Amino acid sequence: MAYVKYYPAPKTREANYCDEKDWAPAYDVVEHADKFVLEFDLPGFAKNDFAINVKEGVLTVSGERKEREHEDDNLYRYYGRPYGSFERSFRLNDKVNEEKLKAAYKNGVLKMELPKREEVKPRTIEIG
Amino acid sequence: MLPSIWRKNNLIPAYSANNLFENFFYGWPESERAAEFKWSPRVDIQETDKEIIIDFEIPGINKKDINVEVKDNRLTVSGERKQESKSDDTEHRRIERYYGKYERTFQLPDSVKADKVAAEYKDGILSLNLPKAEKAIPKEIAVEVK
Repeated sequence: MAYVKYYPAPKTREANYCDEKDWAPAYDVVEHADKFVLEFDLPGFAKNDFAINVKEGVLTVSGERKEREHEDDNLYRYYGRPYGSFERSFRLNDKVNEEKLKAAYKNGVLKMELPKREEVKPRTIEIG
Repeated sequence: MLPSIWRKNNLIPAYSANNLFENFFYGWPESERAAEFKWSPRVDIQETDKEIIIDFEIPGINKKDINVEVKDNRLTVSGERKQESKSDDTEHRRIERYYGKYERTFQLPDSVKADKVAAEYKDGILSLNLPKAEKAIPKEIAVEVK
């Protein structure tokens, strides 16, 4: 299959925006044959600053980036990076085995792997 | 969420007349030439008397894929963030993250020592430290009005 470049439209960044939260980090979802891979762009976090919860079939990623300390000797500040709390939720469908969720945070990317249940994985059937 | 800008004492530092940051956008470019689309990483800038600290948000790449260049008082950070290519058994369900070439350029004040710039990439943040040459303490000159 030829590789097609995808140019995301800025408006999609505002989807799933929760009114009580300050910003919504961007994510990608890719479906593989045996799992879903969900990757968030969360640069500059420590592992403990965000929480991943699965409850009643809904996966929620939330956290907070505190506003920077203002040093008194600054002459000039420009803060383009978002700060404050964020929360994004996903409804998991029946294909996903949520107990086997694995998450890793590396280089500013939070990568979650959601394996599919055995019965829905594609399998080839041999003709006897 | 809009960026926040703060200036001490409401004095505009002399250099900002040079327009400290160009390339203000983060998102869809003005031109529609898809082949030249470059996204701009978000930044935090702090300036003190001694240095300028700029943090770029560039998650998910290798250190060696980042180009940091200072030329004629212009700082350019550029590179490319590659997307995993599609294979037959994967399907992209939703893509919000930016991929492809990125670039962001800043015009630096003359006082920055270009040869002493330090860069560090950690947790998806490229942190640049640009030291400034020490300048003489401005003398206060009392002007008498006759």
